[in-house]
Amino acid sequence: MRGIMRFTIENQQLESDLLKRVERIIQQSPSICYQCGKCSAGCPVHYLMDIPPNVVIRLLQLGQIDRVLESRTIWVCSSCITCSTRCPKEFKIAEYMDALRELALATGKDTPSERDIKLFHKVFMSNMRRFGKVHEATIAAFYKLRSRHFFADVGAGMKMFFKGKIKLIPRRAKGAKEIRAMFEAAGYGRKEEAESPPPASAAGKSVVSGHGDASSASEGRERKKDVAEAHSARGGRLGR
Amino acid sequence: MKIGYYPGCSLHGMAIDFGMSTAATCKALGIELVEVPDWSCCGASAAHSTNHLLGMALPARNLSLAEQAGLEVLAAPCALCSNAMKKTHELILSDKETAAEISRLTGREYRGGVRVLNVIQIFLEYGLEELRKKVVSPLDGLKVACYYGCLLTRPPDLLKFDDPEQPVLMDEVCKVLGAEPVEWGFKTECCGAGFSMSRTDLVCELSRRILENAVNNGAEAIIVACPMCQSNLDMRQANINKTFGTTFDIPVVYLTELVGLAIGVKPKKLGLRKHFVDAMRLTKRIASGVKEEAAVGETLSR
Repeated sequence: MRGIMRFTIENQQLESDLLKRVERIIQQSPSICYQCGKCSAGCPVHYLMDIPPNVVIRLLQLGQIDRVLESRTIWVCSSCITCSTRCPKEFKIAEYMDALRELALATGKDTPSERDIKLFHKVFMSNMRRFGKVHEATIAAFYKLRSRHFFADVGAGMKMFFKGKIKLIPRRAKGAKEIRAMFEAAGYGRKEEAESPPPASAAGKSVVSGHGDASSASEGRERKKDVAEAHSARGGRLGR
Repeated sequence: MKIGYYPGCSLHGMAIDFGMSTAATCKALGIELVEVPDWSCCGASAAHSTNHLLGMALPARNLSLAEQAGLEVLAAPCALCSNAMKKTHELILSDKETAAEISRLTGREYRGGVRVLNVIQIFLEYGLEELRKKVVSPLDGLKVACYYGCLLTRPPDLLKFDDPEQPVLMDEVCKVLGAEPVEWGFKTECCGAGFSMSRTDLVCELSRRILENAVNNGAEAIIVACPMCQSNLDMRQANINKTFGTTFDIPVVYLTELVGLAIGVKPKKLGLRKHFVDAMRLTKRIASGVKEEAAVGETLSR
């Protein structure tokens, strides 16, 4: 019994740390939401969601961020920003969805469903990382190979090719190296170890670990952690 | 008029018709477009969806490059690109901490000296009265549904462009050309955007609603200002008809193409032949209207 209780308390501590990180990114607290439900009423992809947008915020208010990170909702959200636009409290729900996606990938708590959406984001980003610009034909090719939807849109693809809408050879931006450095500096695709909660002293301080906001005593420790993370990140990119 | 130009990745690829019509129409209007040197991707929706820092740093790099090249006004026809750059511009100006973080990532400074224009704003900047003078083949009351999509007006606090629920500025441009914008309810609904490949079913469902509403309100063409909207409504129209048993057959054209047609740019230069749903019929429709008008004028003069 005592074991279960300790586990629950530790888990709650973890969840509230995660929530603080999201709050730091958006600089707004879910507590301002008064649950009018206008976001869910206007959401065009509401019909595909397992948790409606207003319930997502309610869960965050109750500290149950894990349930949100594991949801399908954050992935089928198409970032149309209708919810934030209509919110009477000007709560930035769409921006919260972005931050929640980022956190779900970083912590590895994301749902195994909606694999295709995550894969497409991943292929898109690695294409951008390589060329500095996006080359649609290679994105489509890589996406098809990895999603195994080989025959989807073959007809449309051929038609596009004959209409001159598909460029076969990618054009690399001269500053492609710069873009790659930006990806490194932003910690793109960096996975966190699920078992190690952030040290209590740094809780709430390090939003995305190692972006220069750690100071004084925890700085050295943060740096070491960063180096270790950077090493592990080289092997494992987003969504592995 | 000389302005900076950020084509973005899609105007050189899938939305080459958007790129062609922007270049041809601006040339005909006497607007000189100066491309941002060595521009890179703005990040699109994948960047802000997976890393909030990259979502700001990627557009910021292009803003810095434009500023460095002395381009005070920057036209970004793609709605995704203009949205990302306008948002980043506002965030950098409003929050010093964010600005410092972004310049740490890009290794470049941005002082906020660039004003980003979306495709509608290019024509507003040019002046509607000036544009009216350039019209040689008026569109003869062509019924158009102006579709703004998500990214031209949202989020309103950062973009500060038109009304987020009932925008009218594209309608104004179309009126100047002699077209008749219809009243309809899906001006700013989402078309499914970047899910075109990963969740085709979602895109088909959302785009079907938009097509249905436009057709029911009597539109002969849908006017768009975003490459994703165009491809979802145009290319996916066949999928939608197959999935839902509908019979949609409505051309989806870029605003730049419509302006080009009205000011007498050749359809070939506008890329009108590159659409999936035949858009060349619009040229016939306009030509017949012009002939009719001439005939009416003749009979009146007699």
